[in-house]
Amino acid sequence: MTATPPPDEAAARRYVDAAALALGLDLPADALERVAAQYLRLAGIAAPLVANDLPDEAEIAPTFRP
Amino acid sequence: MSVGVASAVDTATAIRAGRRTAVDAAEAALAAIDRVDPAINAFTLVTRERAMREARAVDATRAANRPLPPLAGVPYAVKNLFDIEGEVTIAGSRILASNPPAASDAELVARMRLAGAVLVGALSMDEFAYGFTTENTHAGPTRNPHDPARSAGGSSGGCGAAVASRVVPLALGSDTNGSIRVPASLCGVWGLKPTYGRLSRRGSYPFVGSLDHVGPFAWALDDLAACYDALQGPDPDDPACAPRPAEPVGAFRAQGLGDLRIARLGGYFDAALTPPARAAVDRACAALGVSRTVEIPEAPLGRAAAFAITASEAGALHLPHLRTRYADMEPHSRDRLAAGAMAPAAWYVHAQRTRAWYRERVAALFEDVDVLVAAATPCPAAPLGTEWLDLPAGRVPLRPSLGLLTQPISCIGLPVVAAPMPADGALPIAVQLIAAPWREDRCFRVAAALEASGVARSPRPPIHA
Repeated sequence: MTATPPPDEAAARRYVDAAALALGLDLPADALERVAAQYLRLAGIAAPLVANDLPDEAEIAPTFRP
Repeated sequence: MSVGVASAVDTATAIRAGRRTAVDAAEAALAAIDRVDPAINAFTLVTRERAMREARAVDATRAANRPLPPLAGVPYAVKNLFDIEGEVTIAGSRILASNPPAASDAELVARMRLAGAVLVGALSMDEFAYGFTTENTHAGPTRNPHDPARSAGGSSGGCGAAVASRVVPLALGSDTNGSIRVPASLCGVWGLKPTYGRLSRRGSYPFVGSLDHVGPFAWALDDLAACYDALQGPDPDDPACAPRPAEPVGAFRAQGLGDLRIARLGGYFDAALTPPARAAVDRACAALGVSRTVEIPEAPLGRAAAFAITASEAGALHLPHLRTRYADMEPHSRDRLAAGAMAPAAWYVHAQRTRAWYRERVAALFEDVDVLVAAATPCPAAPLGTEWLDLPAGRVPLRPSLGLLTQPISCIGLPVVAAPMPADGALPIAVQLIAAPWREDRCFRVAAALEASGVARSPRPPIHA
């Protein structure tokens, strides 16, 4: 796994194919195309999160308290 | 007055005074479902026997001269992700329909029962709460009572449509990224998304554990407050429910605005508005005398964090369904769930860290502001099947974009009242009244001021009980 977003549709499709295999998802080919498109969209959303230079003390704990 | 349009407070008052029986109120609500629901498709289950049993119990209590609880005899319905004893919790899906019936009520359903309310049914939603339009492929779309060709919003679309059409005065829904506030806005009703951890989620089907909230809908503001107060209180059996005592908001009208500092949210929250949404915010701010505008520059990152957390947690939750029942899953959301299941863990960790950092930035804003005003949705209800939304900044996909103003707020668990802001001849739209954590009371005080000024109210739609 990498935090770097896939650079293009072909890379996203390769990643999704590999991830589906790893996760045991036996999806039809047309579904994998759509999942790859969704993955690419999610990668675009995640990119600024990964690029955000947070202070070291930023919390990592998964339990959230407002 | 048609019996179907009595508010919760009026219904409970009439029953307490002996002017009406709970059985009469329940029969009226059940008749309203029969009459109205074919046009809006909000209900997926009608609990007739239970409703009559609960109503008879209320009437028996009164007949025995025992004190009646606050919502005695008030009909209500719940989003179909809440457990109802003896019924299958489907969460908008086909897959869960073969599960065994729930052994007990969800905690909030139990609290409504203790408050004397009468459950009349369960309401439609986007499958597993992943959507903003309630265009549920299995159940058919829920239709907006203001225009049945349009969406009711989602994912608690059944709640918005059932309350707007006056079939029930109250409904319980859930809000992970906007699923109470979006349908409240598009259907023109009041909605409350309380502080994260305020209300127990025990017995409700999860979507995204670190973002899920539950809360009420109402067409009368006093009903919203009365319902919220009946639901409050810690639940030691729900680890996400905060160990705080109930903090009733019932006195919000007497408190008035006082010296509350209110500001309009600009920047990100202004840039994406269509003219009806901007006009709603303008009307609210004019009525409140708000001249100050503040910005949350980190809001886009907050929304991105909400997206990434949602995708990862929901994808992981539904991985077993994706493996074995993909063909039975909602076409509108199954590919997003699969993509979320594949998301690198680093994205999720960065999203959670960003969320905590963002929470601190917004907390600083609340040091000199008490309530923030922003639109709840960028636009009014779109026709069912609409794929794209044209915003000033460009064309965006409609379904995920309906939450672009709500996600940055729920991401950090802030309490919000969605206040309906009707305009003559126009479709409904709402504003969000946003406060610091645990200050729902301030949201209600501003809501009351908007209502008193005449700009905020729930408009009765053409399709109604």
